[in-house]
Amino acid sequence: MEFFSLFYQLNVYGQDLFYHLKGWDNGMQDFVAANNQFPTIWLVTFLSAVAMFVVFYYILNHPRFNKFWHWLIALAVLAIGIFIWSRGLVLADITGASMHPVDPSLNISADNAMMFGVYNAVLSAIFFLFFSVIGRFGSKNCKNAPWKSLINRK
Amino acid sequence: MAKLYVFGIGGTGSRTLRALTMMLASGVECKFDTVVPVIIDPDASAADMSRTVDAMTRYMKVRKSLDFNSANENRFFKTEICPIQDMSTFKLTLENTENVTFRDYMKTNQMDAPSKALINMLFSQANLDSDMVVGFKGNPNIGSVVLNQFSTSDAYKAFSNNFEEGDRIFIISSIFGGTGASGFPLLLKTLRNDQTSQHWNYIKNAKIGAVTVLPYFNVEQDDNSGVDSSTFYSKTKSALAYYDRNITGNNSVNALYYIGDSMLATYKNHDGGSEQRNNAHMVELYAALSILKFASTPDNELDGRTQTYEYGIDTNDEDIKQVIFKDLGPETRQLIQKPLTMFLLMNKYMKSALSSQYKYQPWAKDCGLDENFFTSQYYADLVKFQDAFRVWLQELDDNKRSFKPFDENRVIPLFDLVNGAKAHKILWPLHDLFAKNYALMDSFLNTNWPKWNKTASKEQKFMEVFYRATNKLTLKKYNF
Repeated sequence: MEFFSLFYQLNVYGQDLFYHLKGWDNGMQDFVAANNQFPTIWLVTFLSAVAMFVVFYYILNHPRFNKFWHWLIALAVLAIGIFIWSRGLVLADITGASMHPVDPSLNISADNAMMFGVYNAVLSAIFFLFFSVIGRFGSKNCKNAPWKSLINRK
Repeated sequence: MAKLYVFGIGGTGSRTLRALTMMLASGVECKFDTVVPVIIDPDASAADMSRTVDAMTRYMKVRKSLDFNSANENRFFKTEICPIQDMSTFKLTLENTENVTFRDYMKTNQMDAPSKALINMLFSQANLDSDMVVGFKGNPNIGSVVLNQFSTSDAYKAFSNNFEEGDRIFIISSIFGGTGASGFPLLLKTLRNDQTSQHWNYIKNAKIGAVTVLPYFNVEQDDNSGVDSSTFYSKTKSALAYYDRNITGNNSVNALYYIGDSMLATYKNHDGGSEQRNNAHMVELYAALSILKFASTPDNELDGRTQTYEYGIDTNDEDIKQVIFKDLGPETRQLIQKPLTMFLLMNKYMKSALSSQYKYQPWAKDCGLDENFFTSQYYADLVKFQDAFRVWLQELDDNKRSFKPFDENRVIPLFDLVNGAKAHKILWPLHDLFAKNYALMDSFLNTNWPKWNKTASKEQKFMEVFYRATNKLTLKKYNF
C-alpha cells in the first residue's frame, strides 16, 4: 500500500470511489499509477492545513483572534474549503468534466462525493490539530489556542 | 546605599513631592536608590499634603512586592520612597500649634512690658490672634518663630540619628508664602549649625540642595482670608534679599534652584485645611526635576560657592499657554518623556482593556495572572495609584500655564496620545501591522522576552511584562 492511499483506507465513502481515486483500470484489472489521484488530494489537503496553521499562528497571529472559538473558526474554514474542493473533484470525475472520468464498471454517486468531501475535511482538520499541538509554541499571540500550551517561557 | 532626604515645606513642598512621586513611579531616573521625604506643614489637615502622603504610602505598598535585582528590567517604582527610619509617617509634627493662637504660642501674657512692646512692634494684632491650625497663612514672621522647634522634633532627631556619610539633603519651599519662606532658612540653619544632632559632623558637611519656588499663582481676593496674593512679590523681594545674604551669600547651600512663572494661575482663596487643594502645576513638576538634577550632580561640582540654576522652557513663545514635551529642553525631555508615556500606556491598558483580555492573553496566562491576582490588594493599590497619576496629569493640563504632554483621554487611534509626537506605523513583523490600539499593546505584552525570571513573583512579572512591552512599544512607535 503506497503512502498516500494509507490516509484514505477507511471505507466510509465507498469502495468503488476508493478504487477510482487510486487509479483503477477495468481493462487492465489493475491500478494505474498515472491515474492515482491520492498523492494530489493528500498534498492539497496537507498543504492547506499547513497554510492555515501558518496563517493563524504566525502571520495573522492576532491578539484579538486567539481564543478557542477563533481557532475553531480557522479549523472550520479549512475543513469547509477542503470539503468543497474534494466533493467538487469527485463530482467532476462523475460527470466526465475532468481528466479522470469514472470507469463505467464502478458505481459512484453524488452521495459518495459528499462523503469523500466530509472524509477529506476531517483529515484536514486532523492535520491542522496536529500542527496546532506541535508547532504553536513559537506563536506570540496565539500560543494558547485551542488550549494552554505546555511550553511556557514565562 | 546613600539616601536623599527631601524636606518639603508648606503646600508647595507637598505638591512638589507629589510630582516627584509620580515621576519616580513612572521610572524617571533618580541617581539615589532611596528618597526619604519629610513634610513640614503646620496645617495637619491640608488637602495637598494628604494627597501627597496617600500617593507616597500607596507607592510604598506597590513597591514592597517588587524586586529590582539585575535580572529584572522593570524601572516602574524603582526608587525606594520611605519615611525616616523609625518613623511611621512622612510628616514632621510641630508641637503646640493646634488650637492655639500665635499669642498663646508665644505666651505673651507671661511676658514683661518691654517684651510685650517688642512683640507688638514685630507682629500685628491679626498676626497675634492668628489660629495656627491651618498654618501661617502667608506670614513668614510667624513661621520664623514657630518653626524654630525643628531640632527638638522627634522626626528631626530620627533624621539626624540615621543620617550617614554620603547622604544628601534637599529642601523644597516657596518664597512667597508663610511656611516655606520662613522654614527654608531656619531648617538650613538648623542643619548646618545644630551641634546637638547625633551625626552633625556628617550633616554639616553634607551636600544640600534647595529649590525656591517664586510666585506662580494668585489667590482670589478675600478680605476675610489671611492670604493676600498682592503681597507675594514684595515678600519675594524681601526674602530674596535675605537669601542673598544668608543662604547663597554664605554658601550654606550647595545648589539652589529658582523656579517661577510669569503667567500666574488663580486659585480659590483658602487659608488652609482640607479645602486647600490646588491643582498640580508644571512649576511643581520642574521643582521636582530640580531634585533629580541635584541627585545626579557629582559631589565635585557642588563644592565651593553655591551653584544657582534656573529652569526654562525651550520655546520662542514666552506666552505659550500649553506646554508639550517638545517645548521642554532636550535634557528634561529625554529624562521624562519616555517614562511618563510608558506609565500612561500601562494605565490606559489597565483601565480600558485588561478586564476583557487577561483571561485570553498569553502574557497573563503564562505569568499565572488570574482573577485572584486582579482582585488582590496589590492590584487594587496599583489601580488607585494609577488613578492618582491620571488625576495629576489632568490637573497639570487644567492649570495655567497648562502642561499637556498627552491627550490622555484619547481612545483611538490610541498611539496619537502623545501631543506633538507622530506615532509611526509598525510594518514588521506582519502581525504587528494587523494589530491596532490595545491589540497592538497585547501583541507587545505577549512577546517571548529573553532573560525572563521564571521564578519571580506574580507582582514582579506583571510589572516586568508591562515595563518591557511599553519600553519596546514607545521605541518603535515614537523613537523615544
